[in-house]
Amino acid sequence: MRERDFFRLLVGSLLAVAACAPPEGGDGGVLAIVNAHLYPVTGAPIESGTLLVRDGKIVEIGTDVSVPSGARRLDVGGRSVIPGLVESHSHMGFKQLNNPSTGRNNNEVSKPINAEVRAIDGLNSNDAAFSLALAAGVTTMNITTGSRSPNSGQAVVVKLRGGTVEEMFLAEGGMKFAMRADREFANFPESVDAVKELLASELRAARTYLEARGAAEASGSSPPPRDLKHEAFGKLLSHDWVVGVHTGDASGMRHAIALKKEFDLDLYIHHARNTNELVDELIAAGVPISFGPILPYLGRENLQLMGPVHLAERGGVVAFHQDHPDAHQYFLRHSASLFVRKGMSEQDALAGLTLNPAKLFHLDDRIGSLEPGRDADFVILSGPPLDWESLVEQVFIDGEEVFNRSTGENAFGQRVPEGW
Amino acid sequence: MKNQMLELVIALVLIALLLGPLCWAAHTQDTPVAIRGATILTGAGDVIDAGTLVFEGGKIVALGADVSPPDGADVIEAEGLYATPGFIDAYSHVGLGFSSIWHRESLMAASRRIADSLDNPGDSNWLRSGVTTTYVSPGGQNLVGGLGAIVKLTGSLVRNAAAVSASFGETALNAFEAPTTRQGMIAILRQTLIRAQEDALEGDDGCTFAQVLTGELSFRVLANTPDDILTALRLAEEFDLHLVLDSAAGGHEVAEAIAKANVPVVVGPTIIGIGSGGPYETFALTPANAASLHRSGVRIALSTAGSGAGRSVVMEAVLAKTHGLPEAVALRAVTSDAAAILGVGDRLGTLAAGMDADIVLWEGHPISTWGETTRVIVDGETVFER
Repeated sequence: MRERDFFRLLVGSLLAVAACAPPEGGDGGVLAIVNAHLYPVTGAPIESGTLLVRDGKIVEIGTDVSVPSGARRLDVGGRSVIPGLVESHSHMGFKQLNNPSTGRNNNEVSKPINAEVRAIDGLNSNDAAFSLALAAGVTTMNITTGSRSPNSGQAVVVKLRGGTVEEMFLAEGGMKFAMRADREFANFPESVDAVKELLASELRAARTYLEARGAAEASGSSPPPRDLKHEAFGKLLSHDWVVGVHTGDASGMRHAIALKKEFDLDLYIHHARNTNELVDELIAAGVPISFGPILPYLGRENLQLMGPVHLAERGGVVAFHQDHPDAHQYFLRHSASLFVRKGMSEQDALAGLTLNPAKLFHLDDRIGSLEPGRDADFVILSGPPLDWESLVEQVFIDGEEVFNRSTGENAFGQRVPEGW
Repeated sequence: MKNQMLELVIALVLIALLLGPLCWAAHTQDTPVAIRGATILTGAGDVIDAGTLVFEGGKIVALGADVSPPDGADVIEAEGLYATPGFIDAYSHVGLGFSSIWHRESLMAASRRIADSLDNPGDSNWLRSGVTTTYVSPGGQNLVGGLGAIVKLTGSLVRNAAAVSASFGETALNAFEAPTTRQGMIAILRQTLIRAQEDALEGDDGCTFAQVLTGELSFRVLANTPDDILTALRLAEEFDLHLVLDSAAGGHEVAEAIAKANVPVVVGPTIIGIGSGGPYETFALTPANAASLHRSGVRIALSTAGSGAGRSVVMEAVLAKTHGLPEAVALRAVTSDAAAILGVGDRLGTLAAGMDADIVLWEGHPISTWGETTRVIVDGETVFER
């Protein structure tokens, strides 16, 4: 069993135990969202449908669902229900809104390669920004260290269910590379070529290390000492982890694609500003993108919006992100409608907020869509999900309410000002 | 060689395309043009169904439900479309380069004309989104940052010295080593105003502050906490200033006081990056501010504080509506109310005879997610057609 799967199973079963206590009597804690305009994302929208939730999981969805007697019914009066939003690229918890003096955890910049550095070890779940993220409808987040080193370390995927970092943990988020040649940051070689070569040399070193460990195990001789950096790169070679590559310009994106090919990596590109120029190459290499941050950097008329539109048209995987604190988390959903204005289908735009970011981390069998068996992470909106006139009214994670606009309550307990 | 020629040709074509809209605006059209059949939202609150609007020589000459296109007029058929005034972004930094956005030498730079620093203030993305005019403000790093300018997004100047822009609070405090406190900054400003009252202030600054004291120039204060807002109100009362508040995060907490002082607010952008903002601003610059201020009786305009690219005041208006600002008020906040607050309400912001022919045609309601500009006209010239 791969370690990631093991973690998932471990955490999943712990959660299942925690979620088993029924919220209030009834049939084993069954929650029925009725009279809902459901957006499964993996299928066409369902008008006047029912979403049935048991033990934190979706058990049934459709128009012909019988609600067990004793189930808790929530009649949403025709409102929209979508999967919880998945923010694929965030630095939340590193640079705290409510305590700016603790803003040093975003970037480990003491050296260029930081594969052994784990985001989870510097994360503060008391960051008030998490409450605002819930108000935006975000239920899952990949939190990664910054991009001021070619390799800034390991990311972590959390659910915004409140509590400690351990309680929020969902999965390891793989690694982060930054394919840039930025003289502003001392950690970068002078060309993107050199950045790629630096990362490639680390991958080769990890391969040698793994081979030596394997050979020692086979022969019974003493293995080389454990090296956390090599182990981390090794997890990319073994496909246990994905790697997200920070790059925006066409040259950086091409180098990322080349790196994927050379080492057969499970790789996606984040930011991906110049997707417009590389649609064919991304499709051919099967490289997904996480495009962002979007608002306020790209408005209604920016031509860069066309890259994701064309990539999605061709069947590519496009996720969106807001990159807190670079851009405001609240506008993740709003950003998606900009692409619809430019021709993206509503289904693809919604997938960019939910299913596709889940795919980046191979979590689409758990989150990102409304289907039987998936985690009951969903958002109730006052109107159509991509309309700016619609508001996020309630948010659920694992079947539990974590945000309620009318009461102002949320799982992190920080006050969300009126308007967010 | 061949490639170089090709590159040269492409470059020339691009330059022609970029300059095209500016050149069109440079001369004024002399054949009357009639927009026929649109739902006309005048910007001042009136709605004319299936109306006709006529303009000539860059000015609107007539509009109404019973107006007919004059003989020989070019007719733009606009049935099913909305017509509005060109939108106004009442606070931006468009056309200002990084080096000219604020004055690094001194805390006070009251007479610095921002118009002198403008580097091609035209912005085609903003024009395409329906925004035709903006107040270009100095940055908030100087306690008094200079004289802001009003420009059209075609690049033409509407008013050179339109207001004096000042800034209270963290941004100014962090930009200079001294003073080290808010009260220290305000003391410097108060002393300056008193010297101006006594005609003891020399040179350009004496002239600028004299115009501030007569109310000829409005005094705009960027303030992003309730305390800073109250300080601005205190000074305005003390010196009888023609005060306009900019951004006003937290304004909802002191809305009554703002309304009582009859001070308008250019509500700050909600669509921002938050990395650089302070913690309070991030929480308080919410899309509900505009509605809160309006409910208390404050006249508002909307703004992006942007420099082109992504931000558009159209989107701010949609968000403000979503969070409680009545649709008609949201429209006024980016048209007639914005023009009035900027002091150019006699020329811009309303579709009426005699006004500049800055007109936007929309498919779908302009204050909505899916509303889309189909044609943008500035000074009677079509500068964008979708």
